[in-house]
Amino acid sequence: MNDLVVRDDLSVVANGKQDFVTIYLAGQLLGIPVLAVHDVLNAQKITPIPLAPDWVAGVLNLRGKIVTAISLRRRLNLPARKPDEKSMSVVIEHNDEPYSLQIDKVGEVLSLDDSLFEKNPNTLDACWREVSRGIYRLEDTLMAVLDVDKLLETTNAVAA
Amino acid sequence: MDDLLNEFLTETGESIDVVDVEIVKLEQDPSNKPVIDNIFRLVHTIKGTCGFLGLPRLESVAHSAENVLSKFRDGELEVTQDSVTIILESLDCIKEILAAIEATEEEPEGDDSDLIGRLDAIAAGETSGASAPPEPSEPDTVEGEIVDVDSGRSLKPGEVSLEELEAAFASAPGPEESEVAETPAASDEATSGSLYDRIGGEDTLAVVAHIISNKLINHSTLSAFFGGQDAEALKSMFMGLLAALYQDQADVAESVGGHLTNDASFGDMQFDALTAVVSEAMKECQVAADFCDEATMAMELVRDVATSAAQAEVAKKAKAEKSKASAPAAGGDGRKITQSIRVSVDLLEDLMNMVSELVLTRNQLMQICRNQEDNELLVPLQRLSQCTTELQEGVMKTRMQPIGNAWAKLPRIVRDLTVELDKKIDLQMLGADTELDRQVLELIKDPLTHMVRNSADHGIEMPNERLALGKKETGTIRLNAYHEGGHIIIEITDDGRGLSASKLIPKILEKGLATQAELDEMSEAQIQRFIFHAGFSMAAKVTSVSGRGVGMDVVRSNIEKIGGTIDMSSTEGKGTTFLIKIPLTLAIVSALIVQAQGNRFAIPQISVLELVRAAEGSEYEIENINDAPVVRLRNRLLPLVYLNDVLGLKRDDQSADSEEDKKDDGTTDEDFIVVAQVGSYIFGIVVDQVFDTEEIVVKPVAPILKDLPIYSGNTILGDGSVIMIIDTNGVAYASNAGATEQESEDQQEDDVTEKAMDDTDSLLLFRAGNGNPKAVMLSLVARLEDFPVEDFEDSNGRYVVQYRGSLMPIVMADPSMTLTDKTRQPVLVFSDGEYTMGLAVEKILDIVEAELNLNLGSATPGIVGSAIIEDKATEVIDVTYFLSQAFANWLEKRDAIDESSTIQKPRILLIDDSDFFRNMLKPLLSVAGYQVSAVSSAQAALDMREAGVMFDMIVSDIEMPEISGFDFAKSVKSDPRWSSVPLVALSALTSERDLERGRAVGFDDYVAKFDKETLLQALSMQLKIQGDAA
Repeated sequence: MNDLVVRDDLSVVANGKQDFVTIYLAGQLLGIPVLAVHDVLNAQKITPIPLAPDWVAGVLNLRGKIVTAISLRRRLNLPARKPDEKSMSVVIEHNDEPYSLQIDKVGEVLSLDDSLFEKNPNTLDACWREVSRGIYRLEDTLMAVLDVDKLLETTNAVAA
Repeated sequence: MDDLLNEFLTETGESIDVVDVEIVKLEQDPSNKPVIDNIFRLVHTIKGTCGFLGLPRLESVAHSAENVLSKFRDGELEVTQDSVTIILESLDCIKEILAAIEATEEEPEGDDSDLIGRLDAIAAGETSGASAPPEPSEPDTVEGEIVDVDSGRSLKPGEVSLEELEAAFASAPGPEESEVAETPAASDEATSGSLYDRIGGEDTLAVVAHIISNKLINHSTLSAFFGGQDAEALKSMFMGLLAALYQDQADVAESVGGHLTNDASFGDMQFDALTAVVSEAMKECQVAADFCDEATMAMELVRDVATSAAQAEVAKKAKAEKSKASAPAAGGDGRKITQSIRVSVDLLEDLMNMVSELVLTRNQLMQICRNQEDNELLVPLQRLSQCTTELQEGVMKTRMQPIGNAWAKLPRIVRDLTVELDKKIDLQMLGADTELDRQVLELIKDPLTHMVRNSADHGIEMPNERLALGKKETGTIRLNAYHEGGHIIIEITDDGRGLSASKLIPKILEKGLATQAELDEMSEAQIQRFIFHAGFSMAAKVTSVSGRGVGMDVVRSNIEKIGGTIDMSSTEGKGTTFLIKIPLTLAIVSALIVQAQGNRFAIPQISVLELVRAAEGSEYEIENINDAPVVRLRNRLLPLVYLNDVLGLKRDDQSADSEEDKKDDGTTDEDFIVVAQVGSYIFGIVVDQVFDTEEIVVKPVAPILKDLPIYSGNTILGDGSVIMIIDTNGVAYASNAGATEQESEDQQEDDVTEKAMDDTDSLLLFRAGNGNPKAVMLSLVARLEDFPVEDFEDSNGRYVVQYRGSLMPIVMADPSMTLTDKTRQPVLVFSDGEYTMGLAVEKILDIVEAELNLNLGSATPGIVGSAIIEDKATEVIDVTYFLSQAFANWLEKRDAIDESSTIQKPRILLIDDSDFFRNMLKPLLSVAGYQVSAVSSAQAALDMREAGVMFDMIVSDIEMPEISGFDFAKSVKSDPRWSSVPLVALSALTSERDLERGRAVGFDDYVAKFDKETLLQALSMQLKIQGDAA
């Protein structure tokens, strides 16, 4: 039953497999549907925006386009990155507006079988539950699927 | 949509706009022949085109309007307001239909018989029955010109050659004529007739022509020449050609043959092929072989003309000329010779965006190059830069349109209003050819229309009202547009009734936009600005024209949306002027790049007035009043806002109390002040560093940042970094100093007067001596100074300080206080003419706006009384006392003190041109129990008399500009309204002769100016005398 609902959400392909770009954030593995990812960037020069919500890291110039950078750590209430740690970002689009999610590291592209999918455990933190579509059981670890639209929709609500 | 229909809609729309304007012109000058001709021509064109496109409803309306216009033109009908109104109505009807066509591509259903009936009635009105002849004939001619007789369908573009054919037939004996001749000829033996008859006449030819056209379109070589043409057109052409040939009409045949094709490569080979096709067609139609050969031979007659490229060229030219003459039917060919083309706005927008990006990239390249010396890229880059600049200018120019386009509808609107409201209004438009970006133009069109409408509706009075006020019967609304420093300024001025603050106040209170107390503090100009608030309507009642309350606030927000500003000034009874300042273009703006706490920001130049460098010990120094930073700029205090504070960044100097800026790196000790203007509010934004100005392309911020009013956008700089663009409106708002709370420089002067008349005052609070804070009216304070303690010198037992090249005596604000033990001593400087003194205080606390309601008199010298200010008992000091302390000769002390009667507050009118005295006497008199109104001139006092204000006593200065006290007294005594009011003169002129003169003109008493006790005594005595008399 749950599987069915999830299938709708993920706009399932016939073979029951989903492709995800995996990203690391404070040691946690997260997945973003591969089609949602526009760019993967190394560390960029980011212009901070005073007065903006704290999870808005600033704005950056991506080939002449202005992209709003979101600090995913702050968005998900994770501790701030240590200064010496490297950072990368993943550019996604929400309502035709580009956003760059600041993350620690980009992993690989995984094609995962639907059978590995489970809904969010009830014990998950409310903030996480909101932006995670569910969890994939990988062999050695667990991967939460990031709902990009939810992530930025709620940010809209917060901002407004 | 069909291209032709599209073209028609655009063209007709333009024509209608022109007619709108012209008609109004005509009404003003009915005998203007060129104007009538122009209108008639335009309406006629519209009508003609409608018929051509098969739009009967539109055509009939235009036709009836044209009838009336033709009567105007011929002088058969007089141009009256009624007739013009109906013509305009019909134009509106046409517009409506056009709009519907644009939306649906089809003519809407509807009945215009009423309108047409009225139009016809007007046309018939003067000359009954005369309307009949033109009516039936007109549409017919139109139809005849443009509808293909054979097919009965309307023409498409590219078929001009057909029309040419028709003309050829018309000029020569054509088929119709030959038909007449045919009948007898046909009765003869077939062999004896012309080839035309022998082949089988028109019927056969029609079939042959049909076959030829079909063959040609599918022919391997000839289709290249004829394939592009319509089968019907080809058929008609060959029909005409063959008929002419076989009837031996050589000239007609040549003319038609010359138009077979315009292609210069149509040579002998092709002609041979064509002949073969004709011959084949003949055979197919079973024309006898002999005739067939003969017919084919006849084709040779037109070989030369058909193959001659030169001939084709001539024909083409002739055709182009003709198609130009018959513009509506001309279709495609006519456009080849026009000098301008229509380009879709979207394309221009795209171009503009691309160019903007190009400029940015160019800037980036330049920046990189600048950092590298001896770069081989430098020269080509320079060239690229130049090209880019020119390209940018060029593209900008394509978007530029004269502002007159936005105004085109205004004469009509004003004209309609004059009829509807029964007013007389003259609309003047200056600078209509001032060009600005079409995007901007579109955005200001509606606000402008709205404002003109407003001016006409509420601004201009009714004619009789105007006459009664001594104005010209006809009101004037003037639009003026001009360039000024990269901006367009648009002024909208009317000479109407102006805005009345007193009428606005109840509205403001009703809408809850401000409290009475707040309003009391405001100047008239500030109150007038409430019209820019949402939901505020100027109209006393809602008319069909305006007054629904969606007005000036929308105008303001629209103008601010495009980075413009709007300001107004209005004098009641004289008129109103709106001043709109808008940028030339939206895409690229010039911005000042500043730095705050290591971050760079852009401030659009439009809001920047000037830059001031402030540093310790320099001419400009940032000072604090209770942590509120200010700077003196040309003898005015400029409120300051730290950009760091507004942005929530840490300020450099952590100790706000001291003004010493301690930079982190310790290198500079200076700040830059960006003097910005929002509306009429001028303030300074303090930034750490100012870089240069840069042309930037404003890009909107991401939606999640939309609710940060402090940013108007962001942009990419030449070095590729992204920076935020600061919205000065947002800064002003964030610093909690809305534009309406402050006044502009030029209003400040009026404001002193206003303030004096109001019951509230700006008070400077300070601490000196005992626990209670003390207060003094801010308007009395000339400057705030902060002297190092070592500057204080002892002279004759008093402190003096060297100040501006002379010695300034310093008086302690409280006898119990001593000079501060800190390094710097705050001092309030008071100044009256040549006298300048300093009042040493312990600490300056704040500046507050408060109602100065002195409830306790005071026996303590130097204290006028106590008042509750900010919930604290505060002593208000008597500056005159301290002045007399500092300068023995300033005031001669007198002893007499008498308690004035305070039973019911007598009203006193105080007239003095010196701000200082007004401000000094007002609290003095109010503590003595009088209700004081203070004005700065005798004229203002007389105005109050006109307004019907009554006083119990008038205290007037003698020495005043314009109307002196003596003249004032004369006019007071000569008018019954105030003649019985006691009049007390207050003057520095105290000679016996002056006293005599004063009494002679009607002053009841005469008091020396600086003698407050005598004044109070005199006042109470005068009131008593009057009370006894009453």
